[in-house]
Amino acid sequence: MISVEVETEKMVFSPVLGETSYQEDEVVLFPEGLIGFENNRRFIIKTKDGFKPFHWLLCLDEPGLLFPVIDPFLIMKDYRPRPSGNELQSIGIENSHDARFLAVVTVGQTVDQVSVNLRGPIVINTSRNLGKQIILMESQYLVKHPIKAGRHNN
Amino acid sequence: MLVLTRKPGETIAIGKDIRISIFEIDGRSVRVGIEAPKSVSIYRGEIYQKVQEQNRQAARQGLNADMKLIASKLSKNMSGSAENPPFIQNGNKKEQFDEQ
Repeated sequence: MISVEVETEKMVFSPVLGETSYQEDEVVLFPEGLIGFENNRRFIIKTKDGFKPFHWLLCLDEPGLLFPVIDPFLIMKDYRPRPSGNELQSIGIENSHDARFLAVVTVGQTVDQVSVNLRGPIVINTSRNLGKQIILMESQYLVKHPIKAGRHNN
Repeated sequence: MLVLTRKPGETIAIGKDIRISIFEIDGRSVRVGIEAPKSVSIYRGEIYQKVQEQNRQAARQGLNADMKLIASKLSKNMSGSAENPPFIQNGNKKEQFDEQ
């Protein structure tokens, strides 16, 4: 008798995304949560048509909590986040090739005032589904880096 | 909050793994050394607060903002040449290199 383990699909209801299905192997654990949200540890990253290039970082512990995020390299091609010391050891990253970066997005008063946090990126160890938000020592990157959505480059 | 007064050369021990050393006072600044396990993150308080506030704002606004509209505007800007997406040049402007 062969028994097969089937990955069950789970559902979570969240604002913006509504009923969202996910697999357990999609869950990213943030042992230290996010900055200012240290008790929120289990997240999934959802990409839905219509929102691209944004993704949604959705907290399973608190489904009303979700963050729009984006690949920071889309915003700055030569973005060079350099985590200090052993900051990434706690999520098992030895070098940045194991790492996926995401930047949290905020919207200002108007739709044109969109900014991304390049100073405090989220780093994910994609092979172990562990994540952490770090704050870079380099002061050249801004917490609110404007991306000027909707305006043509001058 | 525990408030202590220390002189240069004195230290503070936090738990068994963290040591704060007061080095020198220079005008209105004090030079502080911190020894802690590498797993402990150390930040200037104001930058931690800024990131925390940006996270909060993002979480709040994600619920209300029209992210689809923003996404479509962004996609339009990005549909230019893959080598030089229009807005990336803004990231290299000198004025954005100031300490925030």
